[in-house]
Amino acid sequence: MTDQEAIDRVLAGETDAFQHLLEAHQGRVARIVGRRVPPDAVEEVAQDAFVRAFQGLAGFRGEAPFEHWLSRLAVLACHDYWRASHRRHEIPESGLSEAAQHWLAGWAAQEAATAEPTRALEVRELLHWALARLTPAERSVVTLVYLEEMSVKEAAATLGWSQVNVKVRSHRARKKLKKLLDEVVDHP
Amino acid sequence: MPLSGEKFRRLTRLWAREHQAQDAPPLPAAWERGVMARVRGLAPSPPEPGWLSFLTAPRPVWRVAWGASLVATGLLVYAVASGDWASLDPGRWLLADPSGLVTLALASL
Repeated sequence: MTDQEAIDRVLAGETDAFQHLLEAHQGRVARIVGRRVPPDAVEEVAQDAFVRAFQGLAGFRGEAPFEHWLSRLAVLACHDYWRASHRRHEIPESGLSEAAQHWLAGWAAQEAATAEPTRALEVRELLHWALARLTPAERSVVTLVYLEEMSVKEAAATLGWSQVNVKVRSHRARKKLKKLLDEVVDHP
Repeated sequence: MPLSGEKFRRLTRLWAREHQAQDAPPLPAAWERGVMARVRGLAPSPPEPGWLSFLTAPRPVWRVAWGASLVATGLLVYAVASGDWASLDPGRWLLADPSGLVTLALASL
């Protein structure tokens, strides 16, 4: 069964045909969601993305592949997860470990421009620490534009924002990230 | 000493690599059953409304606006139908002062 056939059957009232879409695309959705939300929230947010897809299936016009449409819903479900967490003040603002602070300060002071930071653990910790200090909108735009290297146009289409809004917010978020890191380097 | 621009760019590239390398474990079968149980209790929403749907929109404001526009149209039709337009002779107006026509022509260029 193709995606379109499954969609047509679901819209005709055969809800069980949604299982095909679920099986075919859950890996992609899990990957998108897994990169964006804490591990204990992945199942809930991925479920939310599929439920949105089911409810909005009649609005899928088939102009782009189904997986693109579903991916956008998954990104938006993650965005909403962070908005809800932010509203409830649930985002933990854990401090940066001493190891990560020293590593960053040491790396910043290194002369050799070619020296690659290879401490993946510290790089990852810094990333999560910095993202936790951004607003949900900044987090979403930074993830799309800088971490997933999407164009401004693609990010705007995904988030449903104007391109100008994406440019302004991503620029502001980048400046904020730089400032956060500078503070760590200056006061390790 | 702040982080140099070049090092910040390299760090964001490393973050991107790190982010893209993350892989999520497969979702359990119970998760799939949970989604299906949820969607069985729902019905797909109707398609997005067309541009004329405001005529039948349930929000009262649109009904009021629609009613007001009907009344306004009725008044306009009455005014046009009952006016003595022939005696005004708009052709004579235009010949007497063609500047309006010239402005219109320039504006349409």
